[in-house]
Amino acid sequence: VIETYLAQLEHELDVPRRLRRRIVDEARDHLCELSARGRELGLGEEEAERQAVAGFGRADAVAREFHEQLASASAHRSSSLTALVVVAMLALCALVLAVPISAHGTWAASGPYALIAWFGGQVAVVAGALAVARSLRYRADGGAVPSERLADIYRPNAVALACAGAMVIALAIGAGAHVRSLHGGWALTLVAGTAALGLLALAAAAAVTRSLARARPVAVAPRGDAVDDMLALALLVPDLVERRSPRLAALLRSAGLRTGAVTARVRARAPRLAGWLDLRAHPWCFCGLFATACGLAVGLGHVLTDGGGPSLTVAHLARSLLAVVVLAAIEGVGIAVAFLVLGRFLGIRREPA
Amino acid sequence: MRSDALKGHLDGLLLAVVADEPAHGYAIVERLRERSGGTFDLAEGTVYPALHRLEGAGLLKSSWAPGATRRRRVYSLTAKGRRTLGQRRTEWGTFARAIDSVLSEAPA
Repeated sequence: VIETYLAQLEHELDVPRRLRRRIVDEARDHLCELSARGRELGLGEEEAERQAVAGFGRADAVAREFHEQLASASAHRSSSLTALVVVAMLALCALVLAVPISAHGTWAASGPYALIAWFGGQVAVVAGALAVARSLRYRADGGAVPSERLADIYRPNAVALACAGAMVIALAIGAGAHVRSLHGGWALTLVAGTAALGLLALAAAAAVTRSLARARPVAVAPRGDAVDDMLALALLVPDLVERRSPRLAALLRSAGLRTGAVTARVRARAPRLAGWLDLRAHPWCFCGLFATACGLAVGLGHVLTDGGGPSLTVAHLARSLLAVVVLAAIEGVGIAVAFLVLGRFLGIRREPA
Repeated sequence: MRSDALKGHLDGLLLAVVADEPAHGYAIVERLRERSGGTFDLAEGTVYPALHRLEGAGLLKSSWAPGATRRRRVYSLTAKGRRTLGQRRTEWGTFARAIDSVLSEAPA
């Protein structure tokens, strides 16, 4: 009876072979102890084994419990890894964009490759930040990620890795277009190496997706949105600050009290405005605010890094303003499209009730 | 008591049971049952995933040890596990006192 049960448990466990052997050996030891206890109490051998197996729990339930626990630990690990990969890929991009690689100068990609690299990088940063933020939420709460919440961490991880990979590959292909004019063999090696790193990131994204499938998460409960993540993170901050700097914590508390008072006043005097500012109820307002902030940051960033200063004229200012508006619009539209396509998948936008 | 009612407290209970002396899975379940006066009677297979998770988190360590008839995996507390157990005890003390003061009957 015990060996049949162990064979079933082994079959149900979708974990690396070495770990599977360990789990089955521990279960065998436990079941033998239990059945020995049963025999001491006067049970026959078969009945003792049957009771031992019944007390241990159904094989599929035990296996599911293992999958959940391992998936939970692996979710935290993969979030840390994703954060590292995204930061490393961004650093790599910054580095290679600054290297004079061909007769045309640096290997800045153009056309669709530039677009993929630009937006891929941004989605990678946002998805990676989401994964890390959610991992921090559960770590602060004891570490265990409930099965129905695993997708909230695994999916942003997979998207961040895939987008980081796409960004790097797009840059490499963009540089490959100038391959004939590249400076010597080292440049070609650099391009090939960069593309290989991008492929590795894509493979890691596939592995994360496979891990989620292996965890066999239970039916999805109603999911939250990005506002939930931000609120949860905001609640983590006071604890951290309190430990590091009590004075700053007191300042934050008083700012929080003032913000609360202002919010209450707005709610009382302008309920319609307060309703509109409820970002949870109006996800597209959240998207609009985020897109506007990013668009303005990108536009202003472009203007600031594109010169000005001593040669500042009205014509220059007008051109700069136009550039800000155009870049902000492109950025805003890109974010809105990403929000529409990935919002629900990544748990940024709440499912309709 | 059902396993799901214990879920939020299982980690602390397992650390406390292993704190006195290293033990294998079966002994851990037995100690848990004995020390709770038979109240915590878990589906025994569910203890192992939690032990593996605590080991993964660095709160427990384990190794194979020879037994009378077969080898067995023995779990013991790490330094980090001991610190965590101390925190859990403090948190539980505060929580239990607060609950007790609310639930206990007010003096007439």
